[in-house]
Parts: sequence; C-alpha cells; structure tokens
Amino acid sequence: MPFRATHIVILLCGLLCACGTVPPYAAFSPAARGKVSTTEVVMPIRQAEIYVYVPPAQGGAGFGLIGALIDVSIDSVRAGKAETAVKPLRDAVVDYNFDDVFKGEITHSLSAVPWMGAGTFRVIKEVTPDTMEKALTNSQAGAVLFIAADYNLSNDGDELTVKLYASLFPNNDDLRALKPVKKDSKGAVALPANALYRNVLTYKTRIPPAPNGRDGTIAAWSANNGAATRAALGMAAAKLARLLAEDIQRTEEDGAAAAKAGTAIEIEGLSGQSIGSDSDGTIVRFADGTLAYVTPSMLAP
Amino acid sequence: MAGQSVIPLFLLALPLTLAACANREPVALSTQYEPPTAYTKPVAKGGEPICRVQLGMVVDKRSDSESMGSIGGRAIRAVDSAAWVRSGLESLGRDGRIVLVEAGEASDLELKAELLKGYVMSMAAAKTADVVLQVHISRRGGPATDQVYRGTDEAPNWIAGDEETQGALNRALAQALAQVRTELLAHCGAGKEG
Repeated sequence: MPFRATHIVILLCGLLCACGTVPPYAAFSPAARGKVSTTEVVMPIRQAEIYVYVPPAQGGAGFGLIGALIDVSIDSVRAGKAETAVKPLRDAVVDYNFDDVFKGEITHSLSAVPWMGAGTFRVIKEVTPDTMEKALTNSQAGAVLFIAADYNLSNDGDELTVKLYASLFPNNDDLRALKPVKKDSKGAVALPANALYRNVLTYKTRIPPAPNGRDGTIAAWSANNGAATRAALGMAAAKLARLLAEDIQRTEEDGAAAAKAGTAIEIEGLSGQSIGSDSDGTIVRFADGTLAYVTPSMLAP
Repeated sequence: MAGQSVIPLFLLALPLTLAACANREPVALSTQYEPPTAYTKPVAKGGEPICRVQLGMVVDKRSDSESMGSIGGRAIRAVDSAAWVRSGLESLGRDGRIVLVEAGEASDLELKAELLKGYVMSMAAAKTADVVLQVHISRRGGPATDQVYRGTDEAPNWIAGDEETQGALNRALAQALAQVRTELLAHCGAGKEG
C-alpha cells in the first residue's frame, strides 16, 4: 500500500511545519544572512519509489468502530489496487534515482547563494523525529536547512506532484540569539516554530488521462522506459531547487509585493497569484506564502 | 456472521495497536531469510536434471544500506541486507532441482545479485513491502543475462511489529526468489538441451 499524501503531509508537517500551529511560510530575515557562516543541507526523502496517492475513505465516518473498519477495508482494497497499478511505472524507472537528481539540483542552486555557505549536502532515508533532531544537533554548521521531498501520482494517475518542505534552523549562538529556541517536552529543538525560514514548494504537471482509466494513464507515464516520468521528475527537481534558492533570499515584503503585482490564477480550486513564468511553466504564490511551479497542462481548462 | 466476528477481532487488536503506537524503537531486521509459512516448497520430480549453481557476489546497491523504510512511525533498520538476500538465494538449494556448489566446483551457472530496492512503506492500516533484485546469470564461459525481479507484499498494518515487518519483507523476497528459481531452471534446461 502506498504512502498517502495527506499522511505524508501530516508526518512531514509534524516534523517540519507543524500545520495548524505554525504558518507554513516564514521569510528569512536579510539581517540574519551575515550570521549564517555555513549551512548544512539535509534532504529527508523517505520513499524509495514513486507511489499513487489514494485519498482516505471517509464513508464510515460517524458510524463508530464499524464505520472505521469499513474505511480500513476500503482503504486497504484501494491501496492494493493502486500498488498493482503503479508497478509497471516502478519497473520502468527502477534505475532512475530521484534522490541523486534532486540532490544535484539543490547543490547547484544553493551553492550559488553566497551567504548560505552551503558546503554539505546529504540525503537521509530514515525520516523520524529522532533522526531529524540528531541531524540538527550533531551538525557543525552554523545553520541546518532541511528540505524534505515527496513525489507521487494522483489517484487517477494523470497528475504528478513533487512537494518540498523547507526549514532552516539556527545552529550557532548568533543565529539562536535572533529568535529564542524553544524545546518540546522531550527536549527536541528541530521544531517548526524554531525555523528561521520555512516554506512549502510544489511542482505539478499532468498528462491527458487515458480512455481506459488509471492503468492506461500510468502506461503512458511508463512508456519508453518511463521517459515522461523521468523528464517530469527531473524538471521538478530543477525548478523547485531554483525556486527555493530564490525564495530563501526573498523578504516577506518582496514576496507580498510580487504577489500584488501578479495576476490571479487558480490551481485545483486554490486561488493564488502568478508571480513569474518561463518557457516550461508558471510560478504561483498562494495567500499563505507557499509556492507552486505548474506546467501549462495544469492551467488548461 | 462475518461482521460479528470482525468486531471482537478489532477489539482484540486495539490494545496491541495502542501498545505498538507507544513503541517507537526501530525495527531491527534479521540477516536470515525465512520462507513464509504459506510458501510451498517446490518438489523435484525423480529423474529431473540437477542445476548446479555457484552463488557469487550479493551486493546492496541502495544509497542507505541500513534503512529499510518505516512502519507505523518506526524506522526499519537492517544490519546487513546483502546477507539477508544471500540467505534467500541460498534457500534456492532447498528446491531439489537446484544444487548450490562452492567456488571451484563444477557448476552449470554462476549467479550474482544486487539489491536495488528493499523497503516497507506504511500508512494508517496498510503496508507494502517491495524487494527488487537485479540478477546476473552466466554460464561458464558464456554471456551473462541481466534481469530485474520484483517481489511485493501488500497487507494490513496490524501492530507495526518486528515480526510483522520481517514477514512482509520475507514474503516480498520470496516472490522475487520464485522468479529467480524459474529463470535458473530455464537456463539450466536450455543449456542441457543444447
């Protein structure tokens, strides 16, 4: 059974964003740049392969244990079918290493931000609160930037989403002095509220759904050794890495001004402002400060 | 009737689930493959030719050889995944039609394997285990063939327990091994016919 995007959001937010208690976006203060000295970039990527997002069943809500059992059964069946459906794609891209591609793009983009002093870049596969805490407290760098990544296909199989959850934590006295570091009941400090910068960046693209449903659509993603999937994941890594490098240097005021100057745009029911574009797609800033890069296929009516 | 029996089972599972929630210690995997209980041992028919296989290198090609995913919020760690896969490949010798031979002994085939993927993913009430092997089979002095074999096990996530996790990975590996066995026997059969 695959990860479900909502659960991943909950997990990653639990680790990095603390949805509901801390806003997803916090700009990095330009005044803090001179205090960073060096940055270690840690990329938690929990998954080993692409998966199909299966929306959790909710039909049993309100019917107590029986309803919960029904939902579990429905979830289990749906997830099993999704796993079967995605196998051909996994086989087609079995030699494709998203982790390496992503790390390469992040290294390229963030190395060009001089004040970050980003010198260490590493992917971690074991993603738990403990490993995140250790990554922060064991680091010798002045700051630690976590960039958790997740990638999946929609339940229909036509939409590919890559999502980053970025959080920059202080790890030297100068940076810690800017914002008092809070600890939770277990003494952990890798908490969203302690991040000096954080944001959620999303890449979305879509292919036409096949007439025969999800299996046919995934067959299109899988064709030619998964050429469309490789291209989309590669583009997602490149665009999001560049977007992150720009965003971490953008003040809150600049971000708001860019949104004000942009044109209104709606992505899957979410209203935002188009704040830039290139030959491959459009950058969207949402009201909460989160960003998306979407290809033209996402804007088509 | 089926509905009546489900509820007590669920109530029975609830304390276990709650207990599992409290357990956030990593799952420590064994280096030894155990065939699943539902696994049916292939039976050699009398008079069938024996396929002599020399087992070569088994390498874990994953970027993090310790991490095998997570289940119910618990990290899954392997001390030596290559050893686990090797012990699985060694179990092919229980087939009766396949005999594993030592290096230097006469053999029909040489087999080398790489672990490309090996993980468990879980969310809510479900989990999946995937094992992907790249297997190189060569005949003495002949060209090698490379094939990728995937085994997948899908099941509810009961208590995110150690045995449950190990079992899921063993079942996934068993699926991949069944494909390897078929390939080996096909190679041996083709060689002996030729």
